[in-house]
Amino acid sequence: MEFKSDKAIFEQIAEYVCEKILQDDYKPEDRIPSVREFGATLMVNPNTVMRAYEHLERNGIIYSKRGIGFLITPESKQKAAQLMREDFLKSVPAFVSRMKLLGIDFKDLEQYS
Amino acid sequence: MNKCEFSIQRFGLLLKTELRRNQKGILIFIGMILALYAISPLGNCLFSTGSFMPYIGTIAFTLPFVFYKNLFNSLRGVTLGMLPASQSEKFLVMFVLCTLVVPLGMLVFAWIVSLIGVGLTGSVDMMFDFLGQFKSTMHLGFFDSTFWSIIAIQSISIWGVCFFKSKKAGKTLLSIIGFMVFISIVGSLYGISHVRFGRFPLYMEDYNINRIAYITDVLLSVVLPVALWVWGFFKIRRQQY
Amino acid sequence: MIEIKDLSFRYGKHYTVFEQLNLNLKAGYIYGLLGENGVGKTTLLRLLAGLRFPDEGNIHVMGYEPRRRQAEFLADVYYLPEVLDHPINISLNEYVKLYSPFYPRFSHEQLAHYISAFGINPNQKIAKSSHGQQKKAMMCFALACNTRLLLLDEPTNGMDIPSKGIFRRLIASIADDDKCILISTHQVRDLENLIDPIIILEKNRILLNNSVEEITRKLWFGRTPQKSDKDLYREECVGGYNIVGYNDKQEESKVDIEMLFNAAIENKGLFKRLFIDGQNPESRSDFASEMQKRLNAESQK
Repeated sequence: MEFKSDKAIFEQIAEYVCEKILQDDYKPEDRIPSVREFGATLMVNPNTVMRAYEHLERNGIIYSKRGIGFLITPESKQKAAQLMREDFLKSVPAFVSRMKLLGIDFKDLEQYS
Repeated sequence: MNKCEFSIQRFGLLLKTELRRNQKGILIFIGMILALYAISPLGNCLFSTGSFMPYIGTIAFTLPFVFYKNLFNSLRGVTLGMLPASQSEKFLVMFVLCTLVVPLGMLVFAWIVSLIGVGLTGSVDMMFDFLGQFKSTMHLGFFDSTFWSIIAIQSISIWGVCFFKSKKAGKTLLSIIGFMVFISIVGSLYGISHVRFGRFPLYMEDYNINRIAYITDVLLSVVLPVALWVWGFFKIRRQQY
Repeated sequence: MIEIKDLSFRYGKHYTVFEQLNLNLKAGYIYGLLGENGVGKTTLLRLLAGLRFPDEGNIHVMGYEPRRRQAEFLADVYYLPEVLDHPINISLNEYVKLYSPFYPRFSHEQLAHYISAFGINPNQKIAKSSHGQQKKAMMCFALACNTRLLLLDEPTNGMDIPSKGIFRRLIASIADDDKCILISTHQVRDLENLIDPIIILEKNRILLNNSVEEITRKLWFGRTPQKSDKDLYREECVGGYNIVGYNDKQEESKVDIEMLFNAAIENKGLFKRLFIDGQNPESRSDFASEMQKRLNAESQK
C-alpha cells in the first residue's frame, strides 16, 4: 500500500479501515486482521497498526475480544462516516482559500454534484 | 535451559559440524597418505620403517592452520564465533579434531592401507606398526613416543591459531624460531649438554642423561605442550573479532 | 532487553568510538539505528553480539554479558553482518542442516515460507549466487532461527527493490513481544514505516531513541509555504518548503526519516536535549522570539 506523505501512517491506516466499512467490505462483527498480519500486509511496523486500531477503538469503530482479536462494532458505519467527515472537513479551509485564489465561485461547483 | 559451560550434546553437535565443515581438507590429507604409500618403493616401504612419520607430523602441524585459518577473522570468523556453543566446547572440539581425530585417523588409515599391502604382496615387511607409535623404550615412556611427539609439535600450531588473530602460520613460525634461539642461549649459558623437544633435538650434543637434561626434557616434551594447550584454551576467550 | 551503561570503546589508543555511552532497548520493538558513516553502528552491533569487548562500562543483553559468549546467550542472538562470512560453498539446505540444530527455536516451516517469499533456490551453492541472492539466503536463515535478539547490519544493501519490500513484510511479520530487532542502516528510505523506535547515533552520543509517536508529538513534518526561523530543518520544494519543526499546534504528521535524520544532524545538541534529556520544546515559543526581536530593535535605536 502506498502511503501519502502528508498524514501520519496510523491515521491513513484507520482511514483505510473506515473506507472498507463504508463500502460494506467490512461488516459488523467481522474480524479484521491482527496487528501483525496487517503490519506484514502493509509492510508497516506492527506498533503503527496498533495505534490505528487504538484510534478506531476509541472512536467506537472496532472493539477487541479476548482470544479472537479485533472486530467491527455494530455502529461502525455511522462512526466511521462521522470520523471521516470530521477529517474531510479539516481540509476544506485550504480548499476554499484555493478557490478564492483562483476566482472560482461556489456556483461553479454545482456541475460536479 | 540451564546455563552450562559444557554440554555433551552441544559438543558432539559441534564436532560433527566441524568435521563436515573441514571434510574437504580431511579427504585431501588422507589422499596425501595414499599418495605417499603409492610412491614409496616396494621393499623399502615408508610405512614399515616408520620414516614416513615426519610426513604425518608435518600434516598434523599444518592442520590447525588450514582448518582454523579464519578463527577470529572479523569477516570470515563470524559464523563460528557466533555459533551457539561455549568457548570451552569450541576449544575442545578444535583440540579433539586436530589432535586426536585426525592424527589417529591418519595412523589407523595408514595401518589399514599397509594391511592391504601385506595382503596383496604377502610380505610382512610392509606392515605398519600402529601400536608402536604409542610406545617408546626411552625414559619418558609414552611421552617419548612418535604419536606424542607429533601432537606435542602440533600444540605449537594450536597455540598459534589461538594466540594470533591474523597471519597465524607466519607469526607462529617466527615465534618458534625466537623460542629456539632463546632455548639455545639458555642452554649454552647453563651448560646443558642436551636439549630435546620430542624427537627433534634442538642442538646435537652427546646424549647424556643427567638431572638437568631430564628436567628440561620433561619441561619441553611434556609440560610445554600441555601449557600451550591450556594457554590456547584461555586465550580464545579474550580474542575479539 | 538491552542495557548499555557508560560504555567506552576505542580502537587502539587513539580512535575513540564511544565515550560513556548509555542506551536501553526493550523487547517487542523494531529499532532503526541510524547514523553517519563511521560513527560506530557496526561496532555497536558487534559489542552487543559479544564479538568485541567494551573497554569500560558494561553491557547486559537478556541478562547476559555478551563478552562471556555463553552458549545460551548465543543461541538467542543472531548477528547478520553487512559483509557476509564468505565464500559459503554449500547450498542453503546444507547450511541449514549444519547450523540450525544449534538454535533451539529454529523453525523449518518459517524457513520454507521465507525461501518461497524471496524466491531463492535453496539447493544452489550460496557462493555461486549473486550478492543480493546471498544476502536473501542468509536472511532466511537468520529469521528462521527465531532468536530473541536480531541484529541486522545494513540488511537491504545489495537487495533489489522488490526484495526490499519482501524484507519489510517479513520483518513486520516476525516481530513480536518477545523479540528485539535492531536494524542498522543508512538506507533510511528502505525502512520507512518499519522502524519504530528510531535511534540516531552520533559521535559518542545518542541524539534520539524514541518512538515515532513521541517524535511526532514534539516535532512536525510537512510542507509550509513560508520559511521560518523556528524550522529545525528545511528543504525547498514546489510550493514552498518541506520542513521539520516544533509541533506547536500538536498536529499529527508523518515522520520523514530522511528529514528527521538531517534535522538531527543539524541540531545535534538540541535533539539530545529534546529527546534524551527530556526538555520541553516550549522554550522557543513565538512570544520569546517576538520579545527578542523587540529588544534587538530597541538596542539598535
